[in-house]
Amino acid sequence: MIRPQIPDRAYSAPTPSFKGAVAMPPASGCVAGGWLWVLLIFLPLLLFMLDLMTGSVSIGPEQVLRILFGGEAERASWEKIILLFRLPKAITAVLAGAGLALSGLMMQTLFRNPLAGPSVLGINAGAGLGVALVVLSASSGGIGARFIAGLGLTGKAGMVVSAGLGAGLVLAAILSLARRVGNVMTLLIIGILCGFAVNAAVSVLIHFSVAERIQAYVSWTFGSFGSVTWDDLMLFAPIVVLGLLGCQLIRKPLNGLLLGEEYARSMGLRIRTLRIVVITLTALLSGTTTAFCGPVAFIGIAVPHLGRVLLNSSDHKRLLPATALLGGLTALAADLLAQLPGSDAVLPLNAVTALIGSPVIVWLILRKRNLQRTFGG
Amino acid sequence: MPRGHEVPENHPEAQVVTVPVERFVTLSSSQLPYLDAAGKMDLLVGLGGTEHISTMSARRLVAAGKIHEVGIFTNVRMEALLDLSPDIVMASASGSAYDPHPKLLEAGMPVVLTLAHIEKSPLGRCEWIKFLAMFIGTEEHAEALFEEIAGRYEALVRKTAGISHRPGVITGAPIQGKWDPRGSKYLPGLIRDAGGRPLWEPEGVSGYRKPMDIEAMYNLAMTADAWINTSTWENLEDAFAADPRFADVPAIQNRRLYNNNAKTNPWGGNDYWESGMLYPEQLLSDLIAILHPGLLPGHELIYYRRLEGETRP
Repeated sequence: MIRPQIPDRAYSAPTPSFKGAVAMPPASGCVAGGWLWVLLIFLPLLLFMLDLMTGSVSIGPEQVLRILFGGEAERASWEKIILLFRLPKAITAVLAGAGLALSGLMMQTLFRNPLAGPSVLGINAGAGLGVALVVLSASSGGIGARFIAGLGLTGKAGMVVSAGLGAGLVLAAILSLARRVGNVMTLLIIGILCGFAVNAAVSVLIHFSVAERIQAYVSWTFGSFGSVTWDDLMLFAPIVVLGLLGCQLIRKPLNGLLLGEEYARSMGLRIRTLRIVVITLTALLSGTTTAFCGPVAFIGIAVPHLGRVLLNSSDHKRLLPATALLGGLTALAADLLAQLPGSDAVLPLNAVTALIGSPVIVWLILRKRNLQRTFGG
Repeated sequence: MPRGHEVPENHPEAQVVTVPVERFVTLSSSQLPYLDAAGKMDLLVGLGGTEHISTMSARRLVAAGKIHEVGIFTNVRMEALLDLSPDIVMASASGSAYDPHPKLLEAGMPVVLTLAHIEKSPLGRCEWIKFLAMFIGTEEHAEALFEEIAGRYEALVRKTAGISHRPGVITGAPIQGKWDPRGSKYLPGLIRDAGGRPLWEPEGVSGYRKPMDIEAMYNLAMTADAWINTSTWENLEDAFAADPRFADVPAIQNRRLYNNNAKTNPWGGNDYWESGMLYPEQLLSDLIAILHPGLLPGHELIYYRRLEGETRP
């Protein structure tokens, strides 16, 4: 393995990037920053309420509030719709959005690459393979389906467990490599190639499956927050919250990584341990989210950029909470739009996140040239 | 063109197929039941998806090496197909870029497209056997068989014509927080003919044909008397596993869940999509027996079966 003795010029910023924020006039920065945080907390709350009040079944806002505060609704089915369908969906959106956004942020920092996202390590592809093994091979009594059915798991529970197992296996492979591979770029390339290999296995399974099964799998790949029930949340919420809190604990080492690995090492950071912590946290957050919601695209790559542009900073102390809040906000907005307010149709979540989000991010990045400061070049 | 006739010269661009064909290839198993009924299975030399088919006469010929696998959808095995030198290749088109027929035409194959799958009328879908018959030389047989089927179908429709109570029906299964009721184009018509109301496509409204939000499905499901064509479910447990929140809908509480997978074969295919498409009157009789048991006393379900299991409170 080649270990560069000098920092890689192409990727390391010549000056510590997060000082850019410090260099701003403190007064205006503080005021703008203050308002920003108010918005970052207020807007997700607003969208959360909007998400509860809109849906394909038209239920008036006062009815929604009455149901939320334990009152009687005009119709019994409305109570079920709000409490069993909309509320878990909105909570899932917030958690999944925050988790994916932080996963993306950590991957971009670890690899010092603006195109990195939660899926670069092939962990989400592993989750996909797990689901494919169960869903696609079920009709022909395939190994995956028999194994999961043997555990007494069918339907959605089977999908969640198989996705978790798939993600976990790829994670184990990546971690064992991460301990041996010196250069982080090598790890990135291995992760991406690993994803290709796993996806190839999925397409072979699709090739040999029958139409209804393929449709069920494709439907899973579109991503959705709506299938998560309260029982699922009992597992999903604690894992994601733990992961989110874990990220806050490594904010200083993450800042160190931005300076380049050699530099960070000279500051006394234990790079390989840090790498393993970052990868594990990412896998926990994005793997769990993928298991429950399917592979939700775009949020993990784009939201960290949104955070840097809005904060005009790459300092993880502020970037981590801001990105988490923005992730929740973006996920709620995407869920709202996917329901096509005023109609009973629904769009695939991934279509909404990518179609509407990408132009916004491109515009933001073109306006502010924060990208170069963070990632060098 | 009938065999032995001169090809007219005034259509130089036209594709010429000499009929009756001697070497027949189809990419879809839906042609099999009629080939079987007409006794012309020996014309078939190539078929897509041989692994999952239900029609036994075709399975025997596949096992004997008389019918060759030619692949399906995007995975048509061009070389195997060319090697068979078929007189026609029957394919269905979806209009997408993945349709195999442009490539087949480029290779000089005599391709014939069928669009039976977009027929809204169950009988209309069956009537495509007349088109198939033109190529295998069994026009009279097809006419007679269709008249027979249509006669039986219409006799059943007359039984439900005077019904005043029309139970609401939903179809499909919730997948990943969404519900896509757009299964088969002919299903709403079949349900209406059986004296039911397809709740996702009310009379005169066509705007419902799109993937729906799961809460919209729940809302409809609360008013449905029966729930049919429930994906791959085998029992009530499968329904709860797909989404436990539907446990309290009336169709589940009253055990009115019926799936069209009674004739699933050991190889993962479902005869519903083969013989069921040739004999829509049998599908109709199943649905009438489900929705109005009093009209067909003693009818035993053919393609459908009731999903059994314990309900949940």
